[in-house]
Amino acid sequence: MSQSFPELQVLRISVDPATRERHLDAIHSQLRKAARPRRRRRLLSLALAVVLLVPVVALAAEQSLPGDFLYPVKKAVVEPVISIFDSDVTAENRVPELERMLDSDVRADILRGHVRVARDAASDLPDLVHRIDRVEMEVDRRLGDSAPVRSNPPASETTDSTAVDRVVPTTDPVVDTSSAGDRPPPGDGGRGG
Amino acid sequence: MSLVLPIEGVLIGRNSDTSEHPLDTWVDGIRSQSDEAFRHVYEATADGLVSFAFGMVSDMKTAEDIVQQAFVELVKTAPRFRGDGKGLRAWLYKSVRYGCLDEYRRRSRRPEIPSDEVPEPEGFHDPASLHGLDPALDQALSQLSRRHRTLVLLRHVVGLSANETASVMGMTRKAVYSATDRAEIRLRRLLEDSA
Repeated sequence: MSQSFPELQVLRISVDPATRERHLDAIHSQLRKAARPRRRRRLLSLALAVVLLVPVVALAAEQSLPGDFLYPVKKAVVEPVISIFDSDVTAENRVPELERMLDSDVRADILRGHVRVARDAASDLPDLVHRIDRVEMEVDRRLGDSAPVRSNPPASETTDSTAVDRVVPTTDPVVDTSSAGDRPPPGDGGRGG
Repeated sequence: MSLVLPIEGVLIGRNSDTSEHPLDTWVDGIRSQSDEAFRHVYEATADGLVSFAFGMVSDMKTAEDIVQQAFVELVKTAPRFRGDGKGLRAWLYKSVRYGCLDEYRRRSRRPEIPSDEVPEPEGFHDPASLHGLDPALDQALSQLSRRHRTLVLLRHVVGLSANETASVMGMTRKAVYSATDRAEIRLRRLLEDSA
């Protein structure tokens, strides 16, 4: 700067305390207003996430099978809600579950337990009972095919009683399990899943 | 009401452009809208900002309101602020400058009323009489162009460096030097003429 102006120094001001306080109050008030939308935005984001996530989770849960992570959600949350509108939802879910597990090669002894559950749920629904019967036949066939041929099964092996019946000691007759009529009735000590 | 006092040795602004700036510490706090950061920045800049605004609009109450509004705007835009302490100070002076320009526009829109018919507004204080501001100085400043008046105030009252002034004014450093020279020559002539 080529010149100095001492006359201008009178413009150097020190803000008085009352004005400072007024300014700081205004700043603080604006900061409080600014914080409110932030909290509101966060709550809105959370609410939106929940609203979007719930149907996604419900849909995934509905497709789950016993043993899946979301299966408890299906049993405890989704089905009770749907049952408000459709009282047969439990039976209508158990039977397709059974059929999908059958297709997924779930162990037959585990399937047997689920057959029992499905039958309990669908006892009043003839169409579903018919489908359960078909599944049970296939389960029994698999159990028959997979029965190990040995004399002394290990004591720790928890096998279905039908499978145990098929253990063929050298002197006992072989049990033919291919015919449904020869089968012992369900609930006869079979191991459920 | 702010007092007009000749203050010796108070560094309101910085005349050197070193890399560290006193406000650098508070920039992050400003961005996160921290009450403490705003308090510190206000305390560090309020005197200079009010001095500048007062020199521009010649009315203390208006100058204080302009500075208050600048900080309110800073709160609103703080999360988007991208800059360091130097940039923060330049932002504040720029905001006050725009507030002063808005005040000029408001004044130019007010209809001319004969002075003897205008009741003195409640709370209005003529800064020249109340604060002992030299009427000749007030008259000289009002005869400068807005650009020259701004440059003189930023460089000689607030003490901003040429770089900082360039940032506030949207000019190059070279342009600040040459325009300030012209402003000083004009102001000196006006002051001498009124003496």
